[in-house]
Amino acid sequence: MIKRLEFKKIISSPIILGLFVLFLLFNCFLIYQQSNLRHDMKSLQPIVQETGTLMDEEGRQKLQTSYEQDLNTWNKLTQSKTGDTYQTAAEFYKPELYYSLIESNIYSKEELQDINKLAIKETYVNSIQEIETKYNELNVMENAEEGIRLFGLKGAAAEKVREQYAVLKPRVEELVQNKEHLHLFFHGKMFGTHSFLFKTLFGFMLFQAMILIVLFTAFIVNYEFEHRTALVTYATKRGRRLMWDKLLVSTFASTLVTVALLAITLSVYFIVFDYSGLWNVPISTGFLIELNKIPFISWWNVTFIQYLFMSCGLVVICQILFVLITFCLSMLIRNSYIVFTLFGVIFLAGLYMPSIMPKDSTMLLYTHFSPFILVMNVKKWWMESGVFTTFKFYEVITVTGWLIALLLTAWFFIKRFAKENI
Amino acid sequence: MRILFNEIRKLFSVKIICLLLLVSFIVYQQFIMFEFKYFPNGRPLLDDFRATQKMLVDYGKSMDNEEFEDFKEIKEQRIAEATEYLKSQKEMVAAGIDTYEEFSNMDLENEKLAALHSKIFFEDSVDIFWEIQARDGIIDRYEHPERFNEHELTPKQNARMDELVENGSTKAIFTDMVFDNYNCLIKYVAILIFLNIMIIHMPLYIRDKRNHVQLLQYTSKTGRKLFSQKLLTGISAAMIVITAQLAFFFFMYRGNDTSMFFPLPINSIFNFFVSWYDLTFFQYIVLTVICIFLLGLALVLVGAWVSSVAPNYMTSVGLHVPLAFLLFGSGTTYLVQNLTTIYLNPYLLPISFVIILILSSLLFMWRYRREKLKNI
Repeated sequence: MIKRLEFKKIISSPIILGLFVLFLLFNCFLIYQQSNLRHDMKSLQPIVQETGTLMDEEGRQKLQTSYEQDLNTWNKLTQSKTGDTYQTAAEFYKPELYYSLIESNIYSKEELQDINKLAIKETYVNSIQEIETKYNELNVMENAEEGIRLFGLKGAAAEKVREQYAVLKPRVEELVQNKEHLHLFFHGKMFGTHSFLFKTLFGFMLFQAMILIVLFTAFIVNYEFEHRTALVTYATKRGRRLMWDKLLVSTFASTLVTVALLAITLSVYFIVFDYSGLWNVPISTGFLIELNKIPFISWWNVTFIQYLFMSCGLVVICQILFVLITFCLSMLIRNSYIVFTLFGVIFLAGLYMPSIMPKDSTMLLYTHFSPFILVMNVKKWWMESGVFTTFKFYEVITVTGWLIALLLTAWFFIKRFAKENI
Repeated sequence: MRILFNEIRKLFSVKIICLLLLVSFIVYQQFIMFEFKYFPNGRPLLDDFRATQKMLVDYGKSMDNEEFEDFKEIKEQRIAEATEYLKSQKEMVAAGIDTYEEFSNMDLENEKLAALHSKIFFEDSVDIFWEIQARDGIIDRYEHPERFNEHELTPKQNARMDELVENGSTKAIFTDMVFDNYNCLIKYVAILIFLNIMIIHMPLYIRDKRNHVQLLQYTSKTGRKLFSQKLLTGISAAMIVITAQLAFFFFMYRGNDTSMFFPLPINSIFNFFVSWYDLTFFQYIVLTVICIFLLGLALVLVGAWVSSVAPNYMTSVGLHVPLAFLLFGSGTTYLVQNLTTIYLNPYLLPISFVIILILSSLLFMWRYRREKLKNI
């Protein structure tokens, strides 16, 4: 009963609902901006249906023959129309020929779509070889050295980084052996789906949920003080235990808000962009590599759908951490907007911490184990993620460590509050 | 007057001042100090900056053709010095590189030569070589003053570009480093100022409402006037904060040592930014400061309105979230940064300020009239 009423305080405030809707609209707008890619992305599904996603010798052969067939069909058409033939589909788009062809209206709309599809297919065909050589030559130890040099790490810190990359090395060998890198997926250099989904969209959702959560947690924890009901409610023993209820309700509400935000936004995303047939592609596939040419090396062999759910789960847990941080702050400060501001200050301070650490101490690496740094880099969760955060269980350690510490702190504050003079 | 004074004291409580200092400290550390510490950022830029400073001393405000010849001559001298240096290096001579000409045409694919090349630039970091590079860049820009592709601009913009060439402001010795640095800094300073204003004005009306003192106040005529008095308080508080923040910022900015650029026109070819007006750098700085004050004023009006309608702090902060998103994002990009840029319509800036100020005042006035007659 009490919990239900506490929950009502959150739900019945128009600002939470209003902001929630506003955030959703904003996310839809982001997806809408990206949606012009959907048609080009769709041309992957027919390929996958024909050849499967795995591009081993067999799959590659299939793709190659299918591509050559298509090119032949196209060349027959062009020969009858203009007398030209093309070695590759990309040749069609050479500017000196392309514009005159378009202006003279030789090809119908459908035919232009066909050549576009063929060109995309060609990109996939051409990428396979590139990916294979890249992964065969890939040496993560070199990447580690590069990172160490770039950030000027020394001594114990550099050693620790080398240690971690040495653990990563067998995983890369395993990845290549499993042929995880040779699965067809939306071409990263053309579409950048991974960055859009896991950086832009997840990044915004994390911050949106965080804003809502910090707002309502600070609000309900200090509700009795702000509404001058504190003297009544906290006069009894049960009243003092109200803080437990408030904490539980905020945690529950935060999960609800986060799940709702994730569910609605992601449903819109996957309705707009068709991922059918690609759910079970390993997340470490080389096709995901984007313009910065950094490969995605996950610590485990996980598929896209597993990765998506793992990330969603971690988002929810991160939000619980934020509930706990806000709760502890609210127990110290009885003013909700100062709590909000202080939370922002703590967040920025968390990001700032590593830069004041000496470059040769392992503390530099350990200061990266904070939820604030964690949420800034969703794109590289569960993966090789640069020299500072490449630990096999980085995400798990960060989250559990902070969860335990914050739970203890919260428990301490509640205990203290039970005996506090008001 | 006494009410005003007391209200201001209420806004600037010790707690709030500590909070403001904390916020300012962290924002300075995270976003602003970098631009102070690393100005100019990196090697060719540092030499570019030094060369520009020397130009200013030697040629005055602008560089005419005769002075340009002199500038090129200095570069030739430096090349001669560089050749001397190469001749004095045994390994260079051994590799067959004993003039600057050969050095600059070196085959960098060759690993051994590339190592020598990077030794000169990075390990020994010989100043002359960096300086020649910087001077090359300056000469190149002076000789090719057309900054944009003509076809990409509208006739009006092209006319403006021609006008600039005619009145000679393109030949001024200004540099994009100074301009970009300032442009980047002022955005963060503006964001910090707006953040401060939001924090200060959050309790403006809410505090009295929550403490239920309005019941007491609103029964008297003076009490009803308190609403407008408080706005005045808000505005004065905002002005205090803006002035203090800007004063501190410009005190820090002095460390970048750019005062010799103040009287120079910003439309020089050494700057990528082109303005619709013939502004000097100092005038541009004044313009940004005015814009920050105006935006701050509008923010106070909106913030006061929020504070007077919101029933609790959660609602108030919640309403500030989209406001902050707009203001910190596009607000500062268009109304504090790149003012009067040739890429935007010249009337956009004044019109948007007029609209923003009118709308925010209307919002407040509407609340004010209702508050005057409100039943409590």
